[in-house]
Amino acid sequence: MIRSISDSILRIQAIPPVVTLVARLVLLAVIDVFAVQLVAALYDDGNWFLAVAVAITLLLVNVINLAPNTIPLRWMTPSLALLVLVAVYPLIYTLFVSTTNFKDGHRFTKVEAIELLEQRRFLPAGEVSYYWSPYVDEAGNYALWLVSATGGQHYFVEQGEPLQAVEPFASGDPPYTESARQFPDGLPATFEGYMLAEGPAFFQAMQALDPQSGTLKDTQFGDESSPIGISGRSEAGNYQQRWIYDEDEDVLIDRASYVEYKADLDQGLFIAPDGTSAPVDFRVPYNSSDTRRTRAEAVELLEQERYLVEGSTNYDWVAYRDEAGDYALWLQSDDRTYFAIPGQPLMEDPVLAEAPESFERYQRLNSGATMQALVDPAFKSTNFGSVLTPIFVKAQEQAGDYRQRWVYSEETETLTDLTRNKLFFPDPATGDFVAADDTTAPLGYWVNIGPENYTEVFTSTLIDGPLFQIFLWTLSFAFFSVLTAFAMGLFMAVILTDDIRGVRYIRSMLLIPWAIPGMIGILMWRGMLNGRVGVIPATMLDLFDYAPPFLTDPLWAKLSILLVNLWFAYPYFMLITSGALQSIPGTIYEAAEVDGASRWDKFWNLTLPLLLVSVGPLLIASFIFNFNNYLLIEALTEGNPRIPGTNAPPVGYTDNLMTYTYRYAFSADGTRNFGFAAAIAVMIFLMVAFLTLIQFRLTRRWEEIGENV
Amino acid sequence: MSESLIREQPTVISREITENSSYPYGNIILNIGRFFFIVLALFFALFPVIWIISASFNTNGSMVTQRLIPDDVASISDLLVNYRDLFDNPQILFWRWMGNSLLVSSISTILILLITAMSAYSFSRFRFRGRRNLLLTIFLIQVFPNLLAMVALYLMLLQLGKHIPMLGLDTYGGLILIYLGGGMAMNIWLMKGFFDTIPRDIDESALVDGAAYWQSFWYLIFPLVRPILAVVGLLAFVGTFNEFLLARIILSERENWTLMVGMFSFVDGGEFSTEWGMFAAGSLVASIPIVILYLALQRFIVGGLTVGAVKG
Repeated sequence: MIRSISDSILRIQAIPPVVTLVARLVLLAVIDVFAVQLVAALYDDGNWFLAVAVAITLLLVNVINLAPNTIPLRWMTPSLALLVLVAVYPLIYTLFVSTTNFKDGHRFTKVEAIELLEQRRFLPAGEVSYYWSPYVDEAGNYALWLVSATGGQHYFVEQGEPLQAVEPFASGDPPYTESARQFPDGLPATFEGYMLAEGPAFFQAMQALDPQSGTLKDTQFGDESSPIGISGRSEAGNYQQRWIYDEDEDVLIDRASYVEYKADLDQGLFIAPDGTSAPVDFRVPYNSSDTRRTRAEAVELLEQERYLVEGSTNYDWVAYRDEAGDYALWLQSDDRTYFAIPGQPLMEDPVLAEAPESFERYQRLNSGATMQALVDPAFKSTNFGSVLTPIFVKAQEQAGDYRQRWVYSEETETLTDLTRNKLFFPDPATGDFVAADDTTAPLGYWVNIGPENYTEVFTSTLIDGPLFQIFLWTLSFAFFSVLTAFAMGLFMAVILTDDIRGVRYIRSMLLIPWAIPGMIGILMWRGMLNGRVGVIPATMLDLFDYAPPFLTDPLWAKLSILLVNLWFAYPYFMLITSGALQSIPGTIYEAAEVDGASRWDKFWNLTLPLLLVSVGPLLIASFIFNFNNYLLIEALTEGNPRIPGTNAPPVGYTDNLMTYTYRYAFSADGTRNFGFAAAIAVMIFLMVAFLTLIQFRLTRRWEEIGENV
Repeated sequence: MSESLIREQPTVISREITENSSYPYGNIILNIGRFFFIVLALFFALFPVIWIISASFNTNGSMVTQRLIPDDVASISDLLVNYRDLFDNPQILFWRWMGNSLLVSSISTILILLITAMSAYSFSRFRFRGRRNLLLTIFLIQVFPNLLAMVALYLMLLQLGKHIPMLGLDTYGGLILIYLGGGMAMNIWLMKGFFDTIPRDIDESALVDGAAYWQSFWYLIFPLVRPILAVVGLLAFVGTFNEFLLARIILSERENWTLMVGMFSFVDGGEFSTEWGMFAAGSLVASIPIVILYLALQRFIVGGLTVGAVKG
C-alpha cells in the first residue's frame, strides 16, 4: 500500500502552474461562449426567468474560477452549477408560480367530454363476461373462441351467427394447441374453417381487435339476440355503451344506473340530482381558466381566432401553389365549385368534379404540403377573394368570409368581440378579460395574485375540501409506517442472534424484499391483493368464504399500504438495528444485572433508549421519506378509492399530499392548477425542511451523548 | 432518485463489535417462540417472491387460474410461455426498455461519481469559512422534493430543448441532467466521510513536491477511495435504475421509456389480471440482477455507509 502510494507520487510529474491555469481559462471560455448564446436565445424566446437562472449560474461559475482564494469552490463547480440550475431555480420558480393564477383550464370542450363518455362501455347486470381467443379464416375474417368467466363453458362465435356452445376436446379437429393464454385446456388448432391465431397472427389479431385503437374494434360477433363485442385484451361480452347524450333534453344518461346528468355550464360539470357528477368535465366557453400565457400572448392568440360572417358561405377547399410560392384555392360549396386567386373575383369552375391537378400556373398541393401551408402565416393571412367578398382559410374544410373575431386596442386596453360587439376589460386581479355583464373572454392570462393560493389551501383545508383529510392520512401513514417497520425490524434483530444455525442465510433471505426494485415489489403486491382473484383474497375466499376489499375500501386500502410498506422497509431497520445493538457495550448491562433488573427492564430502560440515540435520526429521515412517499401510493392504489364528490381533480382516500399535489399539477382530467399545486409544494417543503433541521440538531446532540456513554 | 437513496440512509452506528451477553440461551419455550416468528418472517418476506416466480412459469398467464406449482406443464417450452409472450409482444419493448434503463443509469452513475468525488475532495481537504454551513445548505435545498419541482423542471427542459435538443423533454440527456441534481448532498456527505479517513500526509507530500491539486486527486486519492466509489456508484445506479416518477413525466414516447415506466404500463392498461404471467416474467428478469448485486454487496454497502457516517 505505502509502496504503491510512493510510486504514484514519483510518477506524478510536476506541471508548471501556468499550464493548469491556461487549461482552466480555455475550458471556461468555451463554456462561456455556449452559455452566453443560450442565455441570449432564452431571452429572445421571452423565457427571461430561465435566462436569468442560467446567467446567474454562469456568473457563479466564472467568479469561482477566476477569483483568487476560491480553490475549494472550484472543485465544486459542477455540483454548485447543477445545484443552482436543477434545485435552486425550480425552488424559486415554484415559489413564484405559487403566487400566480397559473393553470391550464379544463382540457375538453363539452362535445369532447361527451364523446369521451360515450366511448365508455359497461356490462349490464345479468350479462356474462367471456375470455376470448381469436380465430381467423383464409379471407381474414375473425371469429372468437369464448370461455365464460364464471362457469367455464366454451362457445364459438362468428360474425352475425348465433353463439354456438362447444365442448373443448370433443369438437373440432385435433391437434390441440396449448399456447392460447386464457385456455388451460387447450384449443383446437382449426375449427370450422377457422384457424387459431398464433404467433404473429395472434399479435396481428390483438392489434386489429384492440378495443381502443384497433381497426376492427367495432366488430360485432354473434347475432342480434346475443351480441358479443370485445371490451378488453381478454374480456368480451354484451358490453354496451354506458353514457348516452340526449341532445333534445341536453342531458347525459348513465345506463348503468339510469341517472340523468344535466350539464352545468357555470362549473363545466354534468351533475346528477343527488349532486354527484359524471367522471369527465368540460371547458366552459366563457369562463375559461386557461391562464398559461402572458397578457400579450393571450391577446395574440385571441386575435388569431376567426369567425364566419353571418350569411356567407363556407367552402371546402383544395390548396394550389405556383412556382413563385403564391397560393390559390379551389373551392367547393354545396352546389358549386370555384377557382379563387388572390385579388381576383371568384371564377366558377364549370366542371363539377374533383379538383384538377393544375389550373393556370398553379399546381395542386399534396396532403403533406397542404398541412405545411396551414401552418404558414402567409397562407392563413392571404385573402383569396376580393375586397368586398373576402375569402380566408380558417382550417381544413373551412374557407370563406372568415374575419378576425377579437380585436385588442392598445390605447384603451380593451378587447372587443366583433361577433357580439362586446367590450372586455383586463382585470389585473384575476387575469381575466371581463365584460360589463361579468362574462369573461375564453382566455385568461398570467397575473400575480399574491397569497391567494395559500389562503385557498387553508380555507379548503378548514372548510370543506378533502385536503385536511389527506393531510391527516399523510401524517399517520408516515408515522405508522416508521413505527411498524422499526418495531418489526428491531424484533427480528433481537431474535436473530448469532447462535442460530444458518443465521447468515436467514438474514440474507429476509433482506430480499429490501433489494427488489420498489416499483416491481409494489406491483407484485397489487396483483396479490387484486379484487377477488389475487392470491390473498382468493385464498381467503376459499378458506373463510370472506375476503376484505383490500384495495377498494378506504380503511382496508390504508392497511394494505401499511402492510406493503412493512414488507419493504423492515429489512432495512433490521439491518441497522442489529448493527446498533452490537455496538451497545455489554458492560452497561452488568450493573443492571447486579441491581436485579429483569430482561424486560433492561430492554426498556437501557437497550431501547441507547438504540434510539443511534437510530433516531434515521427514524426521522424515514418519516420524511414516507411523508413524501409518492411511489407506494401511486403504484399500489393510485389514491383510490375515490372520495365521492371530488372532481377537479378527482382525489381518493389513500392520496397523500404528494399524490394530491401531483394530481393538481399533472392530472389528465380536471383543471391543472399549477399555482395551487405550487402553493402546496412550498408548504410541504417548509414542513420537511423543518423536520430536517430538527434531525440535524438531534444528530449533533445524540452524537455528543453517544460519545459520553 | 432521492427517495431510493434515502431508503439506504447512512447509519450513525460504530462498527465496534462487542460481545452480546444479555440474552441467555437454552430456554426452550423462548426458542420455540423464536423459531415460530422466524418462520413467519421468512414466509412474509419470501411468499410474494415465490408466488411471482410461480406466476412467471404458469402456462396460462392469468391471475385467476394460477397454481403455486403449475400442474399442466407438458414440456420445458410450456414453462416459458410467459417469457416468450413478453419478448414477442409488440406492445412491450422489454429489451429496449432494459437497454434504455441501463444506458441512463450507467451514464448518470459515472457523472454522479465524478461530480460528487470532486466536491467531497474539496470538503475533506480544504478548510474554508462556511464549510459546514455550505454542506447543510446543500442538504436543505435538496429536501425540496424533485417531484414538487416537477412543473418547473418540466418547463425548464421544454425551454432548454428548443436550443439544446439533447436536453429537451423526452430525451435521456434531460432526464440525466435532473438525476444529477438530485441526491447530491447525501453522496457528497458519504464520500467526504470516507475521504476523511485517508491521511492528509499522503496528498500533502505530493503537493509539497509540486504536484497540482488535480494530480493528487486523480493519481493518489482516487485509487484509495475505490470502496466508497463502489458503494455510492451502486446506490446511484440502483437508484436511477429504479426511478419511476421523473422518467414517467419526462419520457413520453413508448420506445424511450425506461424499464420501470414500462412495467407500470401493465397496470395502466387495466388488463393486469390477465397479463399477470407476462408481468411476473418481466419482474423477475428485471429484479434478479439488482437483487444479486444488493445481496452480494450487502456488507460492503452497510460498511461503506457506516464509515461515512461516523465522521460527521
